[in-house]
Amino acid sequence: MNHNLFLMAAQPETNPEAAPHPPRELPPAHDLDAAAGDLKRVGAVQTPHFDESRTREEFRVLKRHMVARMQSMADSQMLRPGTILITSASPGEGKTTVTLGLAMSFMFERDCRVVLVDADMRSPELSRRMHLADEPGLLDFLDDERLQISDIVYPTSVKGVYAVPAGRPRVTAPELIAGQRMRALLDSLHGGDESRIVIIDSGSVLSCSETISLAAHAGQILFVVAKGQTKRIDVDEGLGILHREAGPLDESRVAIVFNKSDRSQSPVRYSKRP
Amino acid sequence: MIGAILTLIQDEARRIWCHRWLGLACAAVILAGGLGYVMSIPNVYDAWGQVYVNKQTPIAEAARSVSLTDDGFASAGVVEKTLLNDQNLERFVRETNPDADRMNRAQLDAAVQDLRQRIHIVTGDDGFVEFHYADSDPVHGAQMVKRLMDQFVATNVNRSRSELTKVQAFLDEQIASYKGLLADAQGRINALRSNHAGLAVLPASEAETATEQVLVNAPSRAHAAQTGKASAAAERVASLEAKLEQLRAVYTEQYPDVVSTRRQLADAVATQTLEAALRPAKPDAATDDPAAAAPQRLVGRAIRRPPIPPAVAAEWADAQRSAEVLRINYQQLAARREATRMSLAVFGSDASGKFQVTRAPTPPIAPVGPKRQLFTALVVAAALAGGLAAAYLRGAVRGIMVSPRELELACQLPVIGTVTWEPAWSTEAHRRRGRALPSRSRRDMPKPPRRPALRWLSGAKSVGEVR
Repeated sequence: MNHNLFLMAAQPETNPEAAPHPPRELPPAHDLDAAAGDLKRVGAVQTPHFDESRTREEFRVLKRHMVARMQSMADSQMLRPGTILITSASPGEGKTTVTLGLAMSFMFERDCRVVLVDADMRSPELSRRMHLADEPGLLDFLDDERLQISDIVYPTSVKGVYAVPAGRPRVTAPELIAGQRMRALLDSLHGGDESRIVIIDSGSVLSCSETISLAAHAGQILFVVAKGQTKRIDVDEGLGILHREAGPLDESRVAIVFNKSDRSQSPVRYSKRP
Repeated sequence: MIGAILTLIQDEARRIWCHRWLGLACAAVILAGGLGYVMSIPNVYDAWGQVYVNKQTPIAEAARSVSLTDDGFASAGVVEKTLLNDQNLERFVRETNPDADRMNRAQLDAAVQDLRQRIHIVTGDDGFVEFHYADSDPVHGAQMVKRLMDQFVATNVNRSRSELTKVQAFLDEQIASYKGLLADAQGRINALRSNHAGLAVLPASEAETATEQVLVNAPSRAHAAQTGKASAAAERVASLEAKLEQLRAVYTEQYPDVVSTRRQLADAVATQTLEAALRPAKPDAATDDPAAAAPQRLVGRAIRRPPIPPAVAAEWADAQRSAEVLRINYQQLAARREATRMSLAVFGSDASGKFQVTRAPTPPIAPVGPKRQLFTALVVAAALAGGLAAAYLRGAVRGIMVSPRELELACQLPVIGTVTWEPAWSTEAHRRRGRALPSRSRRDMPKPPRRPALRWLSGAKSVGEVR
């Protein structure tokens, strides 16, 4: 049996019999690169229009912190440290931007594969940026057991970066995300490979209840706070909700990213403009 | 410590910067309103006039140390009291404001207060008094200054005249009273002298003599004045005769001055003749020589003097002392009355040259206010302060996060990174050129987004290389 998820997803075009009866327990995807060539569509990754060298360095700093935290959590068997949930207290604080930037930065790591999951059902900005808003995605997969993982995982314009769009919106989105199939999907995306990073772009804590369900699956939570925009009371409330609903949160599992800061607050003191 | 303070200042500056548009909007509103108000303030013209108060007129100099009052016309206190009292100002309001009759008491008081604030009086030690009046109408201002100056002169003259007249009446009354008292005292002395033979032979004391002189001088004062007038008439006759001789030596008899002088001389001679006819006969010279008769009277009295009882002697001494005191007071009052008459002649006349208008009020041409440049600067400062305050208050009320340090302290969680949102020059120029990034309509195109969207991913391969 071929356990290559993407090869299986590609097979319906060559072997239609496999599609109507997908296995309930999803097998892990071992070789994303090998399977990507069989997919038809491509997600276009747009990067923010930042001071590129500086931003690149800032995301490198962020990535180093995340890598260090993953290594420190390697002994923990309860949660996968490679599953990173990006959330915030309120909408519009830059979750998708941080998700994309972090994915690009992880992509530079040797033999590292990144899967971006758009779980922001209120505003699937990641899917829109990748031009995958109308494609079958996460909710379709969770709602329709006939779909395979290869049906919702798309290669992007960047090698090593794959995307799972949000899919068509459903009223039952929070329940679907809180289900076991979501956990199985995350396990399959990791495929037992610790070098795979799954970054989930979720909605804000105070506006999307499914974020709390996702937090329970995430090994690390990046809480995005926008300078001059996020209120302190919202940050306290959002972190409090995560702490109550998604298990105890300590500084080994939750970290904060200060977004939309100015140059003087950047840890990168020098950048050469390209 | 300094570092912490600087960090705090930086954080607050960032907090304000986060709400800069609100601050700018508030500043713009304040600036527009303030500038509109400053521009709408009417021009203020300062109309002024100047009066010179001459404290050294010839009359005043002639009456120096004789007159009762010195000056006090140009002192600030006197001007304020005489000119800017409520009564005068209310009269000004009623004269200048046609709506004053319809005003109630509060409105009238407000108008009086407004008028008082518009008037500014400058007095100097050199005797110049300046009257300033600030008004948006220069002609009205000049008229008001003229009224003030007229009122100032009239008030001072009337005040002096009325006060001195009152003083003179008071002194006349007191002198008449003392005259009666003196007569009583002298009558008492005479009664003692007539009742006691021992006192009758005593010589008259100095007080008694002076009292008698005072009482006698009162009715004889007219006679003394007549004598003085007679001598004056004679002098006038003599001077006119001398003048006539001089004129006749030079001119003919028909010359107008000669004719005029001759007529004046005739009048003076007639006057002299009339006064001589009215003059009483000269008293007897033998009875008017007390020096010759005194030794004889003293010797006779000493021979005939009976003994004086002690009680009578004490009463006699008391009467003498009372008469002395009354005499002294009477003389002082008489001197004051003369000084009052002189003061009334000097300061009770407005034609004495004390007040000279050295600058008549004219409608000013250039405004003196408002100070628009200063007000504009203040408005700009207020607008900036208001904008900063609005931005700061907005940030403080919202409780936003402006620095990683603040965030870390608030959440007690590590801030592992910051992301700067400052567009690169290249991408900013790209945006300004209007080169839009790939839109959704191109989503099916298997092409990567155009540069520079992927420029920072220089190490990555494009979509065409996706396997």
